[in-house]
Amino acid sequence: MIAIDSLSFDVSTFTRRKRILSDISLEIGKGECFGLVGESGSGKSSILKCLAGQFQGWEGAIEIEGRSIADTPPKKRSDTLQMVFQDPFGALHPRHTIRKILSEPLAIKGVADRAERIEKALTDVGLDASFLPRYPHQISGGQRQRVAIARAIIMDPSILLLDEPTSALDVSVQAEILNLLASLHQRHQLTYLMVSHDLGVIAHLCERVAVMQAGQIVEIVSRDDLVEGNVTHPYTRELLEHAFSRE
Amino acid sequence: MSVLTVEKLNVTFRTDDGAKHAVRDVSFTLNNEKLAIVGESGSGKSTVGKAILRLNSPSTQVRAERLAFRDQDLLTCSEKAMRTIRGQHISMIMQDPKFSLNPVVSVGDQIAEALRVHRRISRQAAREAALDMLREVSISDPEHVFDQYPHEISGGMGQRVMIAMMVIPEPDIIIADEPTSALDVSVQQDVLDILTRLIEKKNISLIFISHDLNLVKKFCDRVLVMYSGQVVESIKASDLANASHPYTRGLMESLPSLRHRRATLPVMTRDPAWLAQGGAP
Repeated sequence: MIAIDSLSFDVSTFTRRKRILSDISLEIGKGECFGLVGESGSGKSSILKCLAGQFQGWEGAIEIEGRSIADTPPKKRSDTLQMVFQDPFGALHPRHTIRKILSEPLAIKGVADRAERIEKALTDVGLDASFLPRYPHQISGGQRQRVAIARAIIMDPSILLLDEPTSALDVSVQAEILNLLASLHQRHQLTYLMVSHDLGVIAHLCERVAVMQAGQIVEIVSRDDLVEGNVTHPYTRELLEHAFSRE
Repeated sequence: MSVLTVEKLNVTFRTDDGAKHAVRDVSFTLNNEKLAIVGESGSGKSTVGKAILRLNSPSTQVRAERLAFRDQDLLTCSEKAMRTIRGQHISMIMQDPKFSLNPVVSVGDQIAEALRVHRRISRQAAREAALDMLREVSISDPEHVFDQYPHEISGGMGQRVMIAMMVIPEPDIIIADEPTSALDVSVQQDVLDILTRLIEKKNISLIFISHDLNLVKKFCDRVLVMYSGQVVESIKASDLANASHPYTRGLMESLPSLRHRRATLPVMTRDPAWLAQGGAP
């Protein structure tokens, strides 16, 4: 579904060049939940940004459903690929109502049956039509993240890029959103690529995890191996120990 | 005698939609211990911390039957007396060092200043003390770091500088408001270890404000769980596994676990009766 082959990405400032991603290779199957874990600055979000087209000028090859994304125009790319961001308040236009927020992607693509699509997407994320006239600041953080997810699935994508989708939320709300993501994954046969710094969250949702450090993937482990502690790289072991010690 | 006494603390914010009662009848005493205040966003935990130091905005109304540091009333004392208390007796560590350090003063000078404000001490002696303090918070090259500016150091190091600055006047109480939530997990542990070591060495009482029950369970002695402005449960940290209040239990159970993975996570249903009871059931 997603094939990333030796992806590298440099950022240049006035004085120096910095390698943000170095030689990343990943294969993610259809319907898989794949996790990226690592500390801030390890490059996990940068991979998502390369995929989503927010970063240009990377080297290597990224293919989605067998087609190179470098050759796919952005409008076409967003048919298969949608993203959910960390902070739902920053991701939703503060002066657009929920109706406007959800109808915008449909308008851009010129989709006809807008009202039905909006209603279906809202029901899918556990909200209803009564939210449509409201503004983002009038609903709770958890509801805002639900709206952001509704906007992502409204175009019926096959891949969702999730960038720390729950880390700005309280734990009780995090549980609701994780449950929602799990059920959407099943109902819509979505492929997830999720970034988180929290191994507990990653292991809850993802079958496989890539552990990142300083722009490189140090290890790819399955959930079972992670839970059993079958990891080889010392950095993975360190992260795992921190996660276990906090339970 | 307890270091800090809080009895029936009430805080009300004035907003466009009328008064918002953010903290309701919160009472606790702090002895020489590590006390955690835990709750979700909006539960009023940070407001309690600020109210103790009178840091809320002037339009905020703070009432209490008693709010006292040892036998000094914090509600009625003058602003001048309050300034002696802030820093010298009670100090506060905020969440993000990036926003609490002065960006145009070198970190060493900021630490030294914290000392010079409260004590008559020469510039040179303050510098020596600040360098010692940097060593105490496990900064390996204090002379180099002393002259660096906040934007040149990492988040973990910034938080260590904050700790150094708050500990150097040797206060009686430190209020730490989410001191590690802006940090990576591996750095979090180091910062907590340093904080623990210093407050035990200098005999400082700690109020640790956090949203993270698991962290608090390991780190603190006693836990106050706040929900919607009220303390719903006060419990020894070692007893958290046997917490009685459904909200406390819900907070713990809703965390995804590596060891015991569940297909769906339990979701809390909030009972309006939690508020009506006004405290632990």
